[in-house]
Amino acid sequence: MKGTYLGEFQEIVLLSVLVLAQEAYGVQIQKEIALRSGRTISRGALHSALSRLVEKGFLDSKFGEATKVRGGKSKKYYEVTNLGKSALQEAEATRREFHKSILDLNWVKFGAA
Amino acid sequence: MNHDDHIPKFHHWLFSFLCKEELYDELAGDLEETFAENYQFLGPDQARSIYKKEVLKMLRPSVIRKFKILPKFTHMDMFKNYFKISLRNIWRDKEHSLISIFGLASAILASVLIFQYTNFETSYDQFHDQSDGTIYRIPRMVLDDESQELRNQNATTFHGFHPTVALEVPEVLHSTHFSSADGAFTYDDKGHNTDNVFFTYGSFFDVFSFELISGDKKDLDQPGTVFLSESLANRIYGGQDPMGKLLTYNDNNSNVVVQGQVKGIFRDFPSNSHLKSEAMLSMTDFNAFADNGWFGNRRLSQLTWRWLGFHTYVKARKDASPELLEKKLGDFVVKYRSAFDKANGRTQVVKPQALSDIHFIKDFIQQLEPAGDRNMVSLFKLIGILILLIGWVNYINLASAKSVRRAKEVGVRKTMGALKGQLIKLFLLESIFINLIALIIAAGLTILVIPNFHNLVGAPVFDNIEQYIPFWSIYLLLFVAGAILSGLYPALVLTKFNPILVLRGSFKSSTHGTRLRKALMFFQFATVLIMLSGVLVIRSQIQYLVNYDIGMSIDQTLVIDAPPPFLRDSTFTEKIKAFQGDIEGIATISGSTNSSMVPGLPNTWGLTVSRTDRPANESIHVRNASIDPDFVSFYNMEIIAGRDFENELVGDQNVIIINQTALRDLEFDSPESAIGARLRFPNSDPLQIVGIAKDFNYAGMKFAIEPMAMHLNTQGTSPFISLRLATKDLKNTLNQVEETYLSFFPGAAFESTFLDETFNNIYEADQKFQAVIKFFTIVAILISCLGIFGLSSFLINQKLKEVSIRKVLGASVMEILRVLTTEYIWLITLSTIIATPIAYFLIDGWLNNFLVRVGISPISFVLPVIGLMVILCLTIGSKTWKAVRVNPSKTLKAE
Repeated sequence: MKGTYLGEFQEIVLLSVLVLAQEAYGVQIQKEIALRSGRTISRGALHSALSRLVEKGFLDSKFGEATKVRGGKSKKYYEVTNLGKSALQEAEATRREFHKSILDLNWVKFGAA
Repeated sequence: MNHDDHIPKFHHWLFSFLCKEELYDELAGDLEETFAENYQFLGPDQARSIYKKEVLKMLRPSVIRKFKILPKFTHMDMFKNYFKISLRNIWRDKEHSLISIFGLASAILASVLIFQYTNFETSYDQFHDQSDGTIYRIPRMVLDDESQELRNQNATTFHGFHPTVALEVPEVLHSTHFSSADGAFTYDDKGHNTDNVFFTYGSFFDVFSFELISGDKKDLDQPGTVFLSESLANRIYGGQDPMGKLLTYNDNNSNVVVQGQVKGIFRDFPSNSHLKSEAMLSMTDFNAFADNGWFGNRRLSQLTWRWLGFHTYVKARKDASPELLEKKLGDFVVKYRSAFDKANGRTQVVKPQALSDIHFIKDFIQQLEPAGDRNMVSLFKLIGILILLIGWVNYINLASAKSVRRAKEVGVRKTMGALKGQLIKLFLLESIFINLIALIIAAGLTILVIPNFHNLVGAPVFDNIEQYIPFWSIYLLLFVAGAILSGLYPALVLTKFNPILVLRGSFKSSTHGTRLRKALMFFQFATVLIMLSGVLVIRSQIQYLVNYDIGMSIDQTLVIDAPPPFLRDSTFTEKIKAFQGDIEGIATISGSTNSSMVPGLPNTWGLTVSRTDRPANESIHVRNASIDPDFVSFYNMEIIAGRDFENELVGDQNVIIINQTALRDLEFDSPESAIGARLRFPNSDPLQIVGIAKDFNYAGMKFAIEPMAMHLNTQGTSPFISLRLATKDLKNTLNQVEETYLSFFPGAAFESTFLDETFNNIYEADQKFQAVIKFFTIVAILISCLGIFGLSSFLINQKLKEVSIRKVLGASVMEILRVLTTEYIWLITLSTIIATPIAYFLIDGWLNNFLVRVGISPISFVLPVIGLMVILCLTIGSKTWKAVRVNPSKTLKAE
């Protein structure tokens, strides 16, 4: 089903939201991704990913406090839904399955040699 | 300082303006937060640039708000739908859409090429700054006092004109003159042949706005100064800085040698300038050589008002009218010349020529460039317009014929409540859309064919296209207007349909607009016929000129430039004789001759002569050539009285051979009576006539035969050596000749041309004209064929039933073919009747430009008609044939 498919970038975004727990809003997510995966992404690209994840129901959002440094504009906090968590697990499982078969394959090859 | 003041204002505003409201707090806040942080850690500059990039990357469809500024924009959806419908219609009928679009695109392509060519032609010399004064060329004309006829139109004037005129005529702000030459620059033992060397003064740059990149124009007033064009400097010095370098100039046609220093570099002259100079030298050097032996014992200062050949230009005050200028300059010249002219019964006339007209001024000798032709330019403009019209005609014909197919759609739309205005809008949009696609395709094609087009017309007309932006803006506007007009007719036809009739199904074939369609096709046929006739006649005229018997044989002749004057030492005559001997020893060469005149090259040498038995003022101007004893036999010329020169007779240095025209102009009764008569020559004793040559036309059939006197030169100092080749293996022979030449004259540049090529170059302008006309005729025919093909195939599909019924009732295939093609035959007949007189009139006018012209043969008008019939049969033939061959039961069954 198209709706539950999780792209690689979206997976990273989901994971970083999970890691940040209570502090997951735009700037922090951007930083977290930069820190962990070493890639700098634009806020625009992040916005696309976030809004798509919200659309799919993997993320929930709520407005938070406004600070002076933001010119008095409120933050928007994100939270991974249960659906999102299960999608993550599913993606992880699929990947593990693949890795296993690749290992098996290697084993056979080595055995034959 | 607060970071808020540093945030990039425009980007900040842009984002707040474009961002969706519900996203603004989150996104703008995040951006600002990031900015504040970057500001602190990376500094203001980097923070700003990151912020700008982030904003731009943020502008994506999901973020940008939907604008609903005006209520009018609710029509947007309607337009979107129209657009979709147009696309579907274009896609559904691919064949016809392709024909419409391709036809239009070719028409646009052709018109763009033509108009840019005419733009280029009319833009000649327009780039000079004339805000502070108007630039004129000063030609020289002579009025015969007795007959009041103008004679001797020359693009140059007297040496004495330039420095004096600005002193004596207050209306003249600046003046300059130059002498045009060609020669070789030698630097580092390497020679570089250069055409268009100007001997001039610094005042050249006062009159013209050519750009001096480095150097001071005043240096040109000092001897030993060389100015080079950028490209020539590059050629000579590679990448080195040319300024201050020493080099030597050797003139090709005189003994002028200048040891000079590069003191200036000027920007290459644009291609739409009638002046084209690669190098400039100081006129003071030229004058020094002239004063040192060119006039025997006389000084240049005595002759300054007698020496012609100086291209002279003035910049006159803007408020001085051309009439006033003509009067003042005329008086000025007459004042200095009357002493010489009175005795000869003539008066000098000065008619200043405005700079922008010069490119189109014909019939002046010693012009720097062959003149353009205003009529030709207007003719091309007309062809451009006609071709564009043909393209639109195709579109209108196809679209209105096709309208039947859309009738049902119109019926349904009308029943659903669509207003007529809305439907017109729909169809207009469709036609504009098709025009637009064609325009884009044409633009792409134009860019592809520009190099080929430059070759075809022989000038880089598309360079500096930015000069012509105003014209192309107007073109685009007119194009849009044309696109709308051509869409309007089909739109009107379509929206006229009565929905009840259409939906009932009683409306199957289109008789709407057949009359207009016929008129438009008639227009296409007539245009194509006129152009075809034109091409045929132009072709036969050029053939006629090329094959005309000029009284000299020029086949298999190679002409090489004799060694330049600087190689002429005391042993030169022996050397050149030895060289000619060696060359004639080559088995494949049957003869050689040394002369100052060869067929196909203009001969600018001329003198005034008179008979010794008549008063000296009854003089005529004759062309003058020096030849060796072999010349007459080499070129197969005929001596009708007297004898040819003979090598052994020492006295032959002082006799001449004249041609028939000179004989007539000197008013001798018969060739025989002229033999032994003597003629007065300037600068020498009277010379005796020993032979009369039959008239020959060395300058090509575009020029009248002029009186000519030939004298003997056995010194080998004439500038051309002609060789007759007795072989088809030109390459080897050429190599042998070059080797021999260079072994005799090391340091000289070997330049050779085949005479038939040079000779045919005289007609180059006409051949170019023919090539261009031919190209555009083919385009016009192609576009018309496309249109007729599309139209006929469509109409025949509509007549399938009629064909079948005729067949069932017993009509033969031929009869049906006749029925289907009668319309076209009639149209062609009618077009022929109208087109032939127009074509005859136009062609006759063109042919009258020539001294000798072919008669217009009827074949030139019959052949195009036959050609058009054949093309027509081929284009409509296959479809018609298919329609006729189909089994009637197939078409009649489907009711």
